[in-house]
Amino acid sequence: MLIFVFTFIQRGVWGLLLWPYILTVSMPLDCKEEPGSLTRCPSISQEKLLDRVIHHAELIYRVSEESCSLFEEMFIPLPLRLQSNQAGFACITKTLPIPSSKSEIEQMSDKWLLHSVLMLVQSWIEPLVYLQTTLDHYDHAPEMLVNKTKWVSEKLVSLEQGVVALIKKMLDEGTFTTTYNEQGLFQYDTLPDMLESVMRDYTLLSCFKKDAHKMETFLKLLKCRQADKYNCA
Amino acid sequence: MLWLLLCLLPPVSYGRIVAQNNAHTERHNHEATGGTTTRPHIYFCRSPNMEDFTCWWHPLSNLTDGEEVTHILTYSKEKEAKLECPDYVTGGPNSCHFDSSHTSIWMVYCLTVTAITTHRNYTSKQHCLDVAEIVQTETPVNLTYNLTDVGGDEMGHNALISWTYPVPAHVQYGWITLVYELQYRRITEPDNWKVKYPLREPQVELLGLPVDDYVVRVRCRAQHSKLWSDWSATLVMSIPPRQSAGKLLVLILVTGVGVVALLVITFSIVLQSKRIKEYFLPPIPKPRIIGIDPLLLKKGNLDEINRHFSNFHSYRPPSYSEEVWDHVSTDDIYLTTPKHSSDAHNPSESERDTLIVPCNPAPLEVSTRHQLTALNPNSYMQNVPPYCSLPNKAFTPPLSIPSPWPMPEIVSLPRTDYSMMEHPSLSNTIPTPDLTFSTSPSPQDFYTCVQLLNESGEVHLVPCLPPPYCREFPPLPRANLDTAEKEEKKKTTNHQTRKNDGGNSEKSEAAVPLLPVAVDNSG
Repeated sequence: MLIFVFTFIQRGVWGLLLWPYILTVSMPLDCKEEPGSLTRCPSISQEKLLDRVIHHAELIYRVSEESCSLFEEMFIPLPLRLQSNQAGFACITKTLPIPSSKSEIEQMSDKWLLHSVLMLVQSWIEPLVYLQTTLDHYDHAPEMLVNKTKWVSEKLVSLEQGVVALIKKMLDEGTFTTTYNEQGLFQYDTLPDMLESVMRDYTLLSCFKKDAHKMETFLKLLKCRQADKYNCA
Repeated sequence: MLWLLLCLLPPVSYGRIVAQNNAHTERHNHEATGGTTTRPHIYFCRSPNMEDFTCWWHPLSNLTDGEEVTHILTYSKEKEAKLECPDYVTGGPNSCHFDSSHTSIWMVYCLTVTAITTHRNYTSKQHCLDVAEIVQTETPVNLTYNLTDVGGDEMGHNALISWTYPVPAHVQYGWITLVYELQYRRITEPDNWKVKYPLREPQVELLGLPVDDYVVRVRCRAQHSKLWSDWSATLVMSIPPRQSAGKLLVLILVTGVGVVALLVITFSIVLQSKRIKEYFLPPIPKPRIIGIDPLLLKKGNLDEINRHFSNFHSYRPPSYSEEVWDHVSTDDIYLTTPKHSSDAHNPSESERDTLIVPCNPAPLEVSTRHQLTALNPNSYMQNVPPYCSLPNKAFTPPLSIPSPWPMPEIVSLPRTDYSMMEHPSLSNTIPTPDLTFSTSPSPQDFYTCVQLLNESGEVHLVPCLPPPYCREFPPLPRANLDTAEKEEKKKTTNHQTRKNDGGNSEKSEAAVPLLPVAVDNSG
């Protein structure tokens, strides 16, 4: 009897004191899925998820910026280079209800921030896949550009998963993977004129660059709010 | 008791957890507590790039002979359904590899291995992992070193050590950020590792390494992970001793260059010495006669000279004998008169000797002559060239001069092969022209000759005669005389320069070779 109590106390003490060890080191962890089990599978913490998502967004933005400038140098003659607000072709995500002014963004709730990011990510997955295929048809697209575009589209898919997981974690909402993946945002029709199609691709890249920056900003704002709610800009 | 257990907490924590987990799984599997070989055990999982990962397990070892066993790995991602391992092959035996499509960094994976034998199934304990946490990067390769300062300094050498990451695709675009750690030690000190951490670049410069042999190794890890890669292959780095020869070489080079430069400058100075001398000491211009080439006179081709001069009225080509110019100054006269005055009236051998002796252009006398000539241009006497048929060449002892004159003598010039019979008679005619010309002013008037020297030391000076064209009487027009004198000057200077050894030709040229005709016997 005494021995039983003693072992129970011991286990409790060990459990209490060694809980950080269990978390930080990849030791065998209990993860039971049987119903009725007391223990749950541990999952990745919210902070880690957010950090990884931000890491993704930063990299995606940086690589998309490099790809856009590479494309511009290679294929776009000087007078046609887009300035920030020019629009030969409108950005495809113009129709999305995503705020773009600073004041609007500051007023967005965490939930809307996350949902906006998810909308953006999901709406860009298909166009990037398309862009990957068109770049293969270019005569002398540099390999670096092709690789970068491929990498970005892969990471965008990963980012989508991460944002979904984050939403699940932060907002306790269910999975909704294809809510915003609607048709109509992007058409596949091939334009006969070479210059026209080049210009469209260029527009795609530069719009994506802008949206990637938006995603990164939203996520960083979210992170900032986690730390200090009232001091973020 | 509890306090004791708390104190023992750090060293035994891991062991205790394992024991606890074992206790848990025992209850589920109805197995007796024992070693880990009685059932499979996932012992290691690793992801090299956060995009795929592999797990390895220990298989069931407690087998009876002939028993077949298969292992199955099942996993689940957080709350999803169980799935089987997609790839048992890539990672080797008893491994499971998850490629990028099966890998997600957003969820925790929980894996179990089940050993299926004919009798029963043995299930390993569950192993859960977070892919981003098990990132263990590849080992750095190509560890090399370069000594950066060849000469070395007081502190020793600097070495630049560099390496490369074998799979650059992992770190492109910043997907994984690597942190390196480098360790080095002397070969002779096996445990004294010096650490360089953290390093962001795949290179590092070690400064001030003393001369010795070193062992270097490096490893890396992903920034967000805790797992270090394996240590790279060790590099043996030997620091050579200081190359003092390098400095010596520099010194030699510098001195060599300096010496060469000096030589060049010296040679250039030597070659240009004349110009330099002319620049610093400009030459005094020589007197020239218009129409006559001084080089011609210098060369001394008498035929040409005679030809040139023949159009002068009273020019007579000189005989081919060397003239003995005997410059005598008053000092000389003073010196020698006491000696010769006693012998004045005794034309003896001694007189002859004395007569002859001054003809000898001893170098000392020449030099003194020239000196004194420069000092007293008005008071020198010269020997009469033999063709003048003047018996005596020496006027040094003026008192003795008159006496030997009437006497015909055989005079031999000491330095030539000529000997002549001197006729005194002709000599007597000389004074007359002298006297006649003494009154007429001539360009030679500024030159006076000693006519006679008294016993008391008085010197009678008379204007010197024009150059010794002694075959003819010199009732010559003065102009002719002048030109003749000039020409004679030139000629005699030419002769004189020929005669005189060595330099001082300029002085002799400046000096006017005149024939002193002080032949008075009146003493």
